[in-house]
Amino acid sequence: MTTSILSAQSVVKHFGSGNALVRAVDGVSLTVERGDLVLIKGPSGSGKTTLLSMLGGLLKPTSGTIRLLDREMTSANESTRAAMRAREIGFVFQAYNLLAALSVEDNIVFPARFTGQSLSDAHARADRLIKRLDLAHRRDARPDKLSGGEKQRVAVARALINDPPLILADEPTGNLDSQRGLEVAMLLQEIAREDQRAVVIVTHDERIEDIADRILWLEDGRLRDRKAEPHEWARDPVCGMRIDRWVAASTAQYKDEKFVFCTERCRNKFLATPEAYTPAP
Amino acid sequence: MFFWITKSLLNEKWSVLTAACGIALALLLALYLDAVFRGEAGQIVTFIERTPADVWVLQDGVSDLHMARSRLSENAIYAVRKVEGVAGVTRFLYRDSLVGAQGREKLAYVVGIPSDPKARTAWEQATGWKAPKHGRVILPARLAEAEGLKTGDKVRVGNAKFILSDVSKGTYSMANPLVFLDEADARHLFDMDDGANVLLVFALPGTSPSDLAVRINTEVDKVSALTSQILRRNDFNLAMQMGGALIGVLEILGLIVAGLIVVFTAFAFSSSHQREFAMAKALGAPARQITGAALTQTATISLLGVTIASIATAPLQMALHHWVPGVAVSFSPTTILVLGLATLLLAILAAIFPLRYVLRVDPMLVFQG
Repeated sequence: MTTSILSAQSVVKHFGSGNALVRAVDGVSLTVERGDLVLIKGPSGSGKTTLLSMLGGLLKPTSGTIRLLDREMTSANESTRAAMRAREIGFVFQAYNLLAALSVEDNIVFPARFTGQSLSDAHARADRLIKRLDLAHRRDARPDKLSGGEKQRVAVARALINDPPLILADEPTGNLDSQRGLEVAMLLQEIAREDQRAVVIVTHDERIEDIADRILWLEDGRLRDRKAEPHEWARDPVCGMRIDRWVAASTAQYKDEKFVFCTERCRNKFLATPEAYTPAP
Repeated sequence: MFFWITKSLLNEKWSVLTAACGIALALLLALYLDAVFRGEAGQIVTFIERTPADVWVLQDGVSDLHMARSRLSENAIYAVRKVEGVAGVTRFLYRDSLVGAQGREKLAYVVGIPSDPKARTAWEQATGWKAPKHGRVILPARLAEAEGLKTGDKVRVGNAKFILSDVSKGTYSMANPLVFLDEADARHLFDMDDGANVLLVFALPGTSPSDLAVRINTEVDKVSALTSQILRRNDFNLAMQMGGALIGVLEILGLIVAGLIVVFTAFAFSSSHQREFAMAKALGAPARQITGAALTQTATISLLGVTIASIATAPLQMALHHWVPGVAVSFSPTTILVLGLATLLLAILAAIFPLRYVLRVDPMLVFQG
């Protein structure tokens, strides 16, 4: 029996045309299985959110195919994709996106209204999720009365209300302090491990790397499986800081050698007098 | 989505209420002019409603009391008396004239009440109004008040002067105030030795007024016989027609203003909830639910506006009677219903614009941090 929940094959997304053509995602393929927790990382503007939007059926790829539970999503029309999003995918966003007028419980139940299922069943499930996510004391509170961590737990409960096999999270810890961020990360790990759901997280947060089964690095629209490859450590020649070549934001080429830097400041210093930082031959 | 939109509207009850009040105000402005003309028309037909008669006979070609100023001859009156089914005929003089204090006269309709004691008493009992004696005049209370006249004052009616003996109520309208004179005085004033302007015809028991009217029209030359019901309707419609175009324009303007308020409120609501609509789309809300939510918001605001306008008409009518006693105002439930339904229909049509906006909201907005 296949355990694959989500698979993407040669997915491409281009914006614009001619000289203004942007290859946001360029031939990405990936498979996410039941119980997998996959992180997608990469520099800003690398196409992470575009990729997540396509995996969630919010954006159609320029080419390539995305299958969710063996159902082709890319060729489906908007109403079919909307139905798939409602039933098969739970979303968690950085900005929580809770409905201001609704209580915690009603926010959690909200997506159940799109699936035609019984609302009393949905409320029963919401009740279990509220207890599981330690929100019982906030059941009737409006979002503006909740802390950031509570808001994100409500968003996670909302993502789970229709019992979807796939959870897509965009920077779920981005607006949280380290303690709350870690709690949410552990929660997503629990959802993957114990509930056997596939969880894909787009993040910049280094702290949650340890919980991931795979870390995919997206740069210039292309994916690389970083965890499958060893870290490639290098030293910033200016300040001496140890830097992973995968995540280095600043690089410079000097005499056929590629140098990495912790910041642009170090890079600029280096470029001003490179001989001062390179060993004499 | 319906649940969410209702909760959101409740959450913003003050802005929703403000928009609904704007719609109500636009509707009330449209309803007000209709109510003024309707109130005037109601006052104009009071004389017909209260005066006892089965059939009214006017001059040939005249179908409303407003135009009943020319003379019915004695021959015509005799011929009407002879028509089968006629139990009795009472003559009335009914002409327009300038009336009021010296130098402040106003156009009014002068009614010559029959001098015959039997007919005069019957009319007084049926109408509840008094008939003046010789040399006296009875003015509408509002006209007397407006002219600053008190009982015992001299009043000009045409070229003659009379003593104000009493005032009447329910006889004032801006277009048609009714002034009562004794028949003999009215004949002298209008130089009419015989004949009449209007005949009140009473049918024998078992004779229907409409059959009698048809018979009079067939058998008597140069007269126009109408039942009380038809005459009342004709006069009422004539009064309403005077303001018809104006009422229509104001109703259309009211509807346009109400529609614009609906559109702008719906736009404001939709744009302030743009991110929530985007989130609903991202989570898989079907297009029909999003459409339903957009329609619900406009329908709710409009319905609230129509309800406020409907409820406000009763206290407004009372307040206007108090503040502007010279103007009869009568809000019509039918007009309120028609205008209310038109507003709701317009709101549904107007919802297309915010609906297009909502349906085009990009679900990718959910990724903005």
